[in-house]
This record gives sequence, structure tokens and C-alpha cells, in this order.
Amino acid sequence: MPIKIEEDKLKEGLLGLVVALVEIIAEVLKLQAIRRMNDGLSPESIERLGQNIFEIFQTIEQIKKEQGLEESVNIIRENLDGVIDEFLDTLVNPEE
Amino acid sequence: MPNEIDSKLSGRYIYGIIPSVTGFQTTGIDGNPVYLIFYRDIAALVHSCHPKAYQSSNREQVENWLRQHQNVLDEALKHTNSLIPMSFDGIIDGSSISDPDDILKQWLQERYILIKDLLEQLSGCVEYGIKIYCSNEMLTAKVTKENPEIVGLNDRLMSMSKGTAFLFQSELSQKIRKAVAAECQILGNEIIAKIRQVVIDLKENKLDKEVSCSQRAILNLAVLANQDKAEIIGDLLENLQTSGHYNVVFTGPWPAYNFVKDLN
Repeated sequence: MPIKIEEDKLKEGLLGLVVALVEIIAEVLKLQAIRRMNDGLSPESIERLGQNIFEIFQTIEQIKKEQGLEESVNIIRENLDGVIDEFLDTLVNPEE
Repeated sequence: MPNEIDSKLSGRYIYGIIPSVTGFQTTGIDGNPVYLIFYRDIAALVHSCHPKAYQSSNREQVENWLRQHQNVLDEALKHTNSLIPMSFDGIIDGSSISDPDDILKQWLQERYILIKDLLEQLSGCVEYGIKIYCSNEMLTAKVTKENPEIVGLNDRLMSMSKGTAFLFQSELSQKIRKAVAAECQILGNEIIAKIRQVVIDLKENKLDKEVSCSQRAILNLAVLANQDKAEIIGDLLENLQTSGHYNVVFTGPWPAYNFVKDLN
């Protein structure tokens, strides 16, 4: 499924795509941090890790707000979700 | 004024298969007259067309075709209580022989026993669609209150410093999401068990994607039931709806599309 980016909003689309990807990477980092936290990280390390990741998310939110990218990031992420859903469906039900 | 049957056209659009009946007359897609092609005691509902798929980028046009396809099946059900519906746009190309009807007769002949069995199974039965949605708020409240792991995490969260609380809060959201999905599965299975008691067959279809922020789809079912069971199913679903936890969408009766085996 193609990701739709309007030509006259190319800048917004491109920047939105970059921010969407950064957001996804930040979420992966957060998942890894949760895993490490449950693997027995010290309380100080958990706090430091949590603070750092919290700040990454705050910065992403700030950029989205300043650049008016909230909607385009949402659309891009929904489209990416759709692509992944389709891909997983094909893997799970190859005959359909 | 309906079009006339042009048997010289080499395509045959198939609406469905029924036990042989007499006096069936209706018009189908684009006003084409629908007629029956018989083999022994079964018949295919068809119209003559070019062997070319009905395709259009105009949504209204496609919806119109689908409605006309459905109308033919509804009309057929007035003449018989058993029907094997075919999906939209099933066209057989008979351009290789002089009488295209013969290719369909041969198709019926090759599948005669399968078709007869299926017609018998579907006799007196119709399909209903049942979609059930549940309030996200209710589900989240339920798991937040009842799941001991989530209750424990929630309690610990109060006394944590910012960075730690951020990670714990994220973990908590993950656990709530998983617990809600598991809860939906349990509720869905409970409902399925009740519905199974009043239907002949049941098929679970893919759930709708997120319907709205407040609603979550928990079931999308096609059920095969005797025509006289509509009220019983309706009552059962009404009880779910009036419990206040669910939104129910009940549609039909439809031809039994979801319960037709692949005839090819």
C-alpha cells in the first residue's frame, strides 16, 4: 500500500516521515528499557534511563507541535501500521 | 423496459445456484434479464454478457451493481428455500463453444453431487451478520480493577520518581493493552458459546479496525441459522445490548455467502 504524501505538502510530509520514524525508534528504545528494567537494573540506572527516554519523547512532541506535524505523523503511522498489518496477514494466512 | 436475452453474447454472469423452479423471472445487473440454465434438478441463475468483468472506479455504480446482484438472490429466495449464492462478478467465458449455456451445464454436471449436498445443507437456512463492540472505558476499568498485576503496578506508581514512573507507566499501559485484548477474547468466547446454541454454524470473520476511540470490536460473526430462528437470535443479542456493556449490530437475512464451499 503506498504512503500518500501530497505534493504541495512535500516538506511537511518528509519531515513528518522523519519524525514518525524517530518516534518509532524511541518506542523501541522504551520497550528495550522496560525489558532491561525487569532484568534487574539498579534503581539509579532505571531512573536515569527513564529520564533520558522521557526527554526524547518530550522533544519529539515539541518538534511535532512547533512544526504543526501532529496530524501528518499520525497519518504516516496509521499507513505504516496498515502496511505491517497486511504484511503480517500475508505471513500468517498466505492462502488468502 | 428490461433488455432482451442476447444468448449470442459469450459470457454468463452467475448469481447463484438453486433447485430447479419454474416461473422465475427477474432482471439483474444493468437491467439484464436473468434466466435459468438447468442441469437435472438444479439450475444456475445467469444473465448473458460480454466475458468481461464489471469494473468501475465509480463507487456509486459498483454499489448499484452489488445491490442488483443481491436483488436477484432475494427474488430467487421467494421461489425456493435453498440457494448457493455466488460472489459479485463471477463470469464464465463460453466463447470457445457455439452455445455458451453448454459450458455452464457442463460446470453444473461436474459439480452436481457437491452442489446437491450443499443445497440440502442450506435448505431453509439463511445467514446473519453479528458485530459486537464493547466500550474501551469499561474494558480498561475492568482490567485495572481486577488484574492483580496491574493493580500492584498502579499502587507502586504513586511513590516513584519521574524517570522510573515514566518507564513503569509505559509498562502498565502495555499490560493494560494485553489484558484488555485477553478480556475481549474471554467475553467473545462467552458470547459465541451462547450463540452456538441457537445456530447451525458460525464463522468468525476479521475484526473491524479501531472503530472509534470509545469502542472496540470484539466479534465479527457470520452465522448460519434456520429462517425461523431470527427472533431467538435477536432476543439473545438484545439482552447483550441492554446489559449496557455492548453495542450490537445485527444484519440479515443474507444468502449464505460465508458457508458456501469453494465450488471450483
